[in-house]
Amino acid sequence: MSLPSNQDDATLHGSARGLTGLFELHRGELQRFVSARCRDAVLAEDLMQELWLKIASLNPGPIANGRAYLFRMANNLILDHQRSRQRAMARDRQWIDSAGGHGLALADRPDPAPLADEALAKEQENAALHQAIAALPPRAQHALVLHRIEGRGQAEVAQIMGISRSGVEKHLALAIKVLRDELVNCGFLSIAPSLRQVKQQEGDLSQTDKPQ
Amino acid sequence: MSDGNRIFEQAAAWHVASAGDDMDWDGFTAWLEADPRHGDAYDQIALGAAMLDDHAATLRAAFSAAEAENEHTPSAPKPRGWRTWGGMAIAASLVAVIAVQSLHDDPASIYATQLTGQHIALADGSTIELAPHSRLAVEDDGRNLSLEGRAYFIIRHDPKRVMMVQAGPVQISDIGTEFDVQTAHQTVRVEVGDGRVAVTSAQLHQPIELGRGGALVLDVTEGTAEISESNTGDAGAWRNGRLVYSDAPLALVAHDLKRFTGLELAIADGVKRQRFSGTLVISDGEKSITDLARIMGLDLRRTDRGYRIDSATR
Repeated sequence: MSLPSNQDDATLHGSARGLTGLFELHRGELQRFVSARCRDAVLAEDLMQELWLKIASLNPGPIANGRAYLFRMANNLILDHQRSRQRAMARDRQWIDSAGGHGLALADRPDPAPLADEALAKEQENAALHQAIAALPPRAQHALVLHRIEGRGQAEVAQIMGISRSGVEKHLALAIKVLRDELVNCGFLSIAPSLRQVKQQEGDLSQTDKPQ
Repeated sequence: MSDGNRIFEQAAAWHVASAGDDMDWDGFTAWLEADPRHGDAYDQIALGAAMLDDHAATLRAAFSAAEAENEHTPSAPKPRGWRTWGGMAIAASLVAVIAVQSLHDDPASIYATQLTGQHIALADGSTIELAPHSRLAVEDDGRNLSLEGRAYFIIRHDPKRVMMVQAGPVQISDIGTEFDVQTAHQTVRVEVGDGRVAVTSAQLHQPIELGRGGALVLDVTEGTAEISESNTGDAGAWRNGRLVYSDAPLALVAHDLKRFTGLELAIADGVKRQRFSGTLVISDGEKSITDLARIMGLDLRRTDRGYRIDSATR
């Protein structure tokens, strides 16, 4: 499947051509990953194109593990796309609500009111995040703050907390799962159709789980 | 454990692992392909985690200090719940930390602003205008203040007490005056609107005295301190919606714009040290950023997160 990573290294030292070469080498796997992640063939195609353009215009320094680097780039690109879509949807809602500003560029906004709404939403989002983090189990909170908020690497977090890397991963996973639960409960993340089913099933399960 | 819960746990585990070089991307792809719910669950986990980045500054202010307390007193129960200071809810644990550090029993008052600034009146008649996205702690009956962000201080002179403002790497004392302070990472800028102040710092050989119109920019990373004189009377002009700069490092200007507009503005390393002189109007954040780029002849790009300013060569 993949080449030994030290061979990746050799092709990559400071060379953008190396990265595009590596992209071509792993195109199939990347394509499959992006499709699985997007669940939308047209979007996946666009994002693959965008990824290629990004890689072609990059001039990276030495990269330790080129294949993982490409997958991470793809994963981030998809996340960025989803985030801007989420924001655009929220803005559209506000513009439609405030009537009249729909479809205009930011600079052409006739009315500062949508910005105020955006600001309010941002503050609510901030309060929800604070609350969710404050409610985390202490160790999970500590790991999350060190890694996601103070930006320390997982190895450094392990050192500070005096636990193993996998211990840190477990705390972090718990933290972001609880965070997601809280954000959904507060209405900051919408539930995708397939997950509504899960929720439904959970409800069913909890009923059948009850002692007869 | 329910099916749904398990899926979210797996999604969270994949998300955490994805940061590492040893991530099993093929395994992740296979997991995504196995069930459409997997992808939806991962989207939510990733989007939720990404929201942390949008609010990193205020979260850091609220939780990083609380973590220090955890390390010192691991057995102490964690204070829970919320307390409102000036309209914003912050973790009560933060208040406790400051109280522990203080020699006196009185708890510190913490003022943390988000998108709008705040006017703070101290018991002695002094007032402080706290800019957006800033944080001020008031301790010891208002004798010790510490600032992150930007604020304009109008301090009543009282010969019987020593008052000190801690801002990043500097302490400002001998106060009976008006002055503007801004901190940005390892840089701090102090400008005197009226009266005189003394600025001390471990980075300075001796205290620096600033008079009316005097300004000091101390950059710890660069190891530089610059003193300048201006008599434009523009200290604290930001309170009226104008950001006035005279030969200010671009990094400091960008920090200010982020603070006042709430927009993300990245500055390419290559142009960080360029200087900016001019006035930006902050009522329209997007325009102030466009203006800055245009005045300086730099390239402005939209990014997924906000804006990025770079040299205009390409």
